[in-house]
Amino acid sequence: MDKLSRYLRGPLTLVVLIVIARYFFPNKMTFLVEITTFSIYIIANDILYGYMGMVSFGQPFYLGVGAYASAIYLAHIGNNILVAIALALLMGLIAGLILGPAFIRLRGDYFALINAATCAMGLFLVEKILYPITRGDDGLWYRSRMHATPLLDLRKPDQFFWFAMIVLFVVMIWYTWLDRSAMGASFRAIKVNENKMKFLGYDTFKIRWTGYTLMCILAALAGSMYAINYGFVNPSITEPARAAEVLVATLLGGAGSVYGPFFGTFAFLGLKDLVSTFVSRWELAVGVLTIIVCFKFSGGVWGTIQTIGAKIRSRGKASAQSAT
Amino acid sequence: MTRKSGAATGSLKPSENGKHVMIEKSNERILEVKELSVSYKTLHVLFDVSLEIQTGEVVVVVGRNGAGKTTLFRTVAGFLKQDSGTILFKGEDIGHLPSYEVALKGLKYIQQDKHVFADLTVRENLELGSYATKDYDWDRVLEHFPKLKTLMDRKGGNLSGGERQMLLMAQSLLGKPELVLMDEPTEGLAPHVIEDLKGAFKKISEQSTLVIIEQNLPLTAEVAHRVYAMKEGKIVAEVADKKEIQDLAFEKYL
Repeated sequence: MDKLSRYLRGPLTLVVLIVIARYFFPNKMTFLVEITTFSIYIIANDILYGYMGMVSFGQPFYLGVGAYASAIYLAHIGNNILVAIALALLMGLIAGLILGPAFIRLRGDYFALINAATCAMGLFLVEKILYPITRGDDGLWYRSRMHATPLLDLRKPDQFFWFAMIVLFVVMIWYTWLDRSAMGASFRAIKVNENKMKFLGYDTFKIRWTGYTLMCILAALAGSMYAINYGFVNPSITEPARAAEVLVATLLGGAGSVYGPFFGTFAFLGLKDLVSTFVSRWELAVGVLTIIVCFKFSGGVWGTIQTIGAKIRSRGKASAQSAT
Repeated sequence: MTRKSGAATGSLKPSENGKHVMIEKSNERILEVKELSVSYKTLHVLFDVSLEIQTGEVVVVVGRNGAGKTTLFRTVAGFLKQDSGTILFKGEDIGHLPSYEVALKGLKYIQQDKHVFADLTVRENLELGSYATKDYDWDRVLEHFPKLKTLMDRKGGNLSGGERQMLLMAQSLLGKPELVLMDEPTEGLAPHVIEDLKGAFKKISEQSTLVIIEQNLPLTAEVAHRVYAMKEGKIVAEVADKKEIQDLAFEKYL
């Protein structure tokens, strides 16, 4: 029971805080859903970058796989939103299984660049080649085609909010488990010393492939949630230039930590939201903050919170000992 | 000087507490390396190296820097591929296998760099060893390194050199490997730590065959059943006589 509560406590606190924020700031519900969806997208990148040390400049491609899988289904084939989500997850899995064996053979800059190239090709694909299906820059509109789902009607923003909370809760429990599991440790270990992992008896190729495929599935889930929440998808979702957003948010939150992706998303989208009300070039503020984080706070927002917490705890212990 | 193989004179038998499998020295070959040649691209490093290790032995490979000792170990462990020659482990050709399969077959290699996973705790480092081999019997392993029991929650990066070496050895013993290759395990360690490790070598050698690269000649004299001397990518001598080993007779070949 205690073990179970260790996995539930953090994710539950996070979700409760978002729900409280929704009631205090009802006009920010869309923003909170965006944070939730983007957090899942950043978790996907964090598995790849934070845990396994593989930088990708093509994450929008994987988001696009999920978004377009759901959008094409809803615009041309069916009306069931749950099927659209399942299709996105399936396409994420297929992308991971097919592209993984080729991509993960590459290291460092080559891995980053092949992802960037794939992302650029993905953009060209949905913009030009698949125009009859994707409608290119005009995008796909399908809100009116979506049928109501049982229990929660995901067509309605207030009910989609609850769906997003459930998804975030489940993903965070899984991510907490991953962080503490041998699988998570093996992800972190191949980042540090892949050869040593081989000498311990690990097939590191399979480990990286597993991590890559999990990333694809989670990014596709986030893409599907975007597609359903907005009822519209256009090629901008797969623009290679947006790959930087993912890396910046991952760094801001603190790479390779359970809550880093959420805090990174909150900092990134929060700044974007806040600064853009005063100046049009909000990217400048994010850029300055990223530089500060890189130089002074390498653990990101979550890492800094943890460091401060540890200092407070050690001071508390020291004062308690001196009192006795 | 190479020994001839013969029938096994020793056998595997359970220890008194039933937990360990004590291994006795025998003439049964656990590892045979035949005419091994290895290159790093155009740089030829090993030239027709042949050696054999019997079950239960402690064999030490000595040689100056650049003699090819580490290359030999890395090739046997599957990390480098040979240009020619064969590597037989328990009679099976492992020369074509990737390093993780070699490890799972029971041949573990402990690298020279004493690299533990710095961000992981001692417990997590051991868990990684267990997860790969499905061997979770930590008591058996930690019996040789009681100090590690007090360091379970310490990060690998905060361990001393000796503690790291102990952790590496403990980690490699998970899965009950039949042969352990150790690359300069005492390099850079304080004399009192080496004393502790010496005891550990002896205990480990009761359960696994050990092949050690070692520059510390007095230690070699103390633990080795047999010594191979390497020079310029070749085995130049094999010393099996205990008295010759204790007199450091192999030193003249270095």
